[in-house]
Amino acid sequence: MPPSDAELIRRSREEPEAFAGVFDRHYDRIAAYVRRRLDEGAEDVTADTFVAAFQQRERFRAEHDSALPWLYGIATNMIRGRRRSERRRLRAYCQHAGRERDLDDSPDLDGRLDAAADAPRVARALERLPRRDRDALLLLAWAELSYEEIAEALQIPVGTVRSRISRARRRLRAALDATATIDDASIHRDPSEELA
Amino acid sequence: MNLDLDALRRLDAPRPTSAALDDARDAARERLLATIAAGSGAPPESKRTTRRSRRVATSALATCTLTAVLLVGGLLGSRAPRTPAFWNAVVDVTHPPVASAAPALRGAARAAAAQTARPFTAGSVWVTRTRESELIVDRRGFASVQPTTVELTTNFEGAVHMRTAKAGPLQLMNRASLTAWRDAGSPMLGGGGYDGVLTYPKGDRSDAPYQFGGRFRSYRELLALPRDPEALGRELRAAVAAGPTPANSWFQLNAITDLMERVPLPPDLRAGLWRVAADLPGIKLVGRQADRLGRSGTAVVVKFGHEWRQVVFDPRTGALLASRIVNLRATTTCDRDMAPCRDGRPTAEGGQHRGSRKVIAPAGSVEYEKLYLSMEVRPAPVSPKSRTP
Repeated sequence: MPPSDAELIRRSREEPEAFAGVFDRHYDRIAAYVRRRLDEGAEDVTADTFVAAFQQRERFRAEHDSALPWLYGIATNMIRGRRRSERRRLRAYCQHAGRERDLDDSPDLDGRLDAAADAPRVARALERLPRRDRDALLLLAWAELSYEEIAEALQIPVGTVRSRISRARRRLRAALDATATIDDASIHRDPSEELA
Repeated sequence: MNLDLDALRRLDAPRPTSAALDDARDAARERLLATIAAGSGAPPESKRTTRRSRRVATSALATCTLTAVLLVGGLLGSRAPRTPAFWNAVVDVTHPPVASAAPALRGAARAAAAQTARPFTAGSVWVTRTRESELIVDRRGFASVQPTTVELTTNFEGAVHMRTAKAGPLQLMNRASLTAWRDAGSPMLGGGGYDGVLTYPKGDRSDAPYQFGGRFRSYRELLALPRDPEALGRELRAAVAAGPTPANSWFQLNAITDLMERVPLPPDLRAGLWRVAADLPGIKLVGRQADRLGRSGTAVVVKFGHEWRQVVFDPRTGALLASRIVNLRATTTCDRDMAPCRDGRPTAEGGQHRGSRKVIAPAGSVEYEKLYLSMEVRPAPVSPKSRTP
């Protein structure tokens, strides 16, 4: 049975090379998350995340078996220092509504059209969210962490995680609903009325 | 309803090519390893100079494992750790692998051929770091392991500087070993391991670099080895046959991994050696496996007598990750002096069987393990003499 992250980190205090096992196990997930959040420099931020994690490994709380939430927390802190890159990534989502990959990969036409239509609204809503709310929401949606893991990653109480995510989702839904209403109205409007 | 989250999850950045992802991962890994190397520093040097040989020549282990460990165990003494740590490395040997390892090894060859290598010249040195662990059973029947980091710096002429340092605490085999050891009054243990520095000149030792099987070659001669797997395989068999061990798959695989470790080989020669390994009779695929550092790789195995030799490599680069020797039989005590024996038959040191047997190390115990931590060509350090005007 492979050693847990906690075991590898404990070992790495005396055998620093053991930390490479944590890297091998989690690099791909952290890299995918950072790439989704940043327009450029994602590779550097991911590499910095693991270097910082190694340097701060004494801070890892041994009662957690998995280091993944802790690594996401470090990555999130790194992303905060790259606001311009994050904004560019979100605006890219706005501008590339219905990106080719979504359209190609979605099996059904409705899904493809939904993806195309939602992308700019979601991205705009994300951009307008307070940073702390956005971090919590994206750790839920993109990193697929549980509320407890998000609390661990962001070093905040679980209750705070719930309230941040709840608030963020309300805003996101409002953005989607508002636009959908307008879109629905435009679909069902009689063209003759516009001419009149 | 999670329509908002679904919409959010559909936002995804364009995925880079696989090659770009691999490059980014490799660069990040190198950066981390450089930080680790800088942060951990060199192992402390001891004034004591040891003559204990580096256990690179694992062929010796195949023929005299227990005898050797008994001798070493009797000579060295170590305190057990205050906080018990256990070796507990046992491989499932009840279902021997049957699948051919050839496709995986040919994949390693392709991956190795695609790597780049820094040239090894007179102004450079080859630096390897490994973590070696050997299960030592002392004459009282206590099994323990002292992991040791070994750093070898080899210059172009073949002179070697070896630095060793204990890596972590002494480890007893398992909890039963701890109980037995405490019941015996917590005596000093022969766990091996040492801190020390040793420099030996070219060709001065049996495990010197540039040794190919049982033959000693210059670096240039090694570079001239054929790349064609058939011709290279013939060279390998002849080289191994020139030494004291049988020229079977076990020892040929041993010679291949030794050469990959001791010498900075060009990618095409490393690839050729992996292709030779693919053609070794009886080499089987174990599959994906994580080593004790958690690094994931592909494991292959060759059987000889009652031992398996396992090699774990990174299928993305063809780099060595680990090699180990697994004892397929249990090691037990069998006389009132707790001397070790195998399958109820005492070893030469064990005397006659007079009492009940106790398992010291179960079948499948990893008796020797080497983790390959890093291998790189570096600029040769400037010696103090050369700085003198």
